[in-house]
Amino acid sequence: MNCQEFWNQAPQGSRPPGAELAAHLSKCPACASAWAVQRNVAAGLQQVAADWSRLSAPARVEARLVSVFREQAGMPLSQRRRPWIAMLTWAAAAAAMLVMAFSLMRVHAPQTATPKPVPPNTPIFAVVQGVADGSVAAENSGLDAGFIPLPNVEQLAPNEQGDLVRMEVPRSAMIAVGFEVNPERAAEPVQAEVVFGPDGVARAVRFLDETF
Amino acid sequence: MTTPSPETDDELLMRMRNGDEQAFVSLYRRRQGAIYRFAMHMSGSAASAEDVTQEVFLALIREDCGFDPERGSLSAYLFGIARKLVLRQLERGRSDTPLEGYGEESTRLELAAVDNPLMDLTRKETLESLRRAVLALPRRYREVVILCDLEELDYADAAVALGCPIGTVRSRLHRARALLLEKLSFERSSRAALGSWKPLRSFI
Repeated sequence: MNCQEFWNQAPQGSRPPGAELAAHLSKCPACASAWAVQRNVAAGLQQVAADWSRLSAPARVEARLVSVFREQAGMPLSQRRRPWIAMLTWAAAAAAMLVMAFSLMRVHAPQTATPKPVPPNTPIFAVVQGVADGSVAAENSGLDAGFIPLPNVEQLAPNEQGDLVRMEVPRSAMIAVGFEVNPERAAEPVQAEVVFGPDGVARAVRFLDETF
Repeated sequence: MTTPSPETDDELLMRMRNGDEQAFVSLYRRRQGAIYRFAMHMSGSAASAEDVTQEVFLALIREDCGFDPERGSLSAYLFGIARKLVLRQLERGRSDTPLEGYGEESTRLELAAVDNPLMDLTRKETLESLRRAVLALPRRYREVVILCDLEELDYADAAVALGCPIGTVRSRLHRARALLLEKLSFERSSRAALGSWKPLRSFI
């Protein structure tokens, strides 16, 4: 190995040379001396690098870039949601939970609830539908007022019979049917009466405690 | 139980291309420091370094950024963009005049013959001198020292970033270290000379 070949293959930084390179260094005092200097400088630069390693771009750069990235990807500029969006999300989730909970209770554990048979002449359809469109006064039906049709489910047909079930639901479920609920009390249980259709799907609800 | 290995830059880039913000943030946090330091030491300005860092990653966000993994690592690609931006800034008005006597052709250094001032590099003073010496290097030497010695980019990646052959990287680095050594020797002898002077009168 000649000097040119040595320098073409010299390892980077302050890494030790391999056997062949070391053999050249042992035979060439000029390269050995120059190599020692190079390694010393590289070692010193490593210490400088360690000092400088703390330097980094200000946090605002990342914030700006993330904002651009979101624009580019078609995402909202800020992850912060407005309160009403959060409430809507909550309400939708609660509605889904309510329907699912009612359905599951109906299918799997009907005995745990306290079903109250609907009197034969009780026009549940009229109550539910009437409350929904305002054309029928709930007070005029056989049931008490206050039944509210659940969103996103079909209402009872005129010839359908239903069941009335009293149960406890989270107060947050009231949001789904339009009540305003104190967020601090959202997790508290509340007594409710639910009208089920013949298919076991909850159709309407009435809350017995409307202190929100 | 083995811990999963961190994702490579290329994997993060792929996820980022699919709109994964977290992948972008991970990639940015992994690479921004080196890019910022490179820009800062090349431009000598924190404000310029901030601009350059931002522009580098904006280029990465753009879909037509042109990164080709066949040509080199993502790191080399990012340094390459940063370098171009810094050079553009320097050409627009900032001077990049090296310290007098440290031009490319000005030094004929016989390394073996020079007294070695780096034997005591643990001394803070010497490190500070070395830091100043790096910043005072001419641009073509400064960039190779910053990339290879300070940011520990390998020669192949440095060659991609600088747009030159590996041999050029090696020779410039060799030369840059010689210039650093000369600068340190000069500072040391100057300090020794200054140290021998005594003030005629003290006003404090």
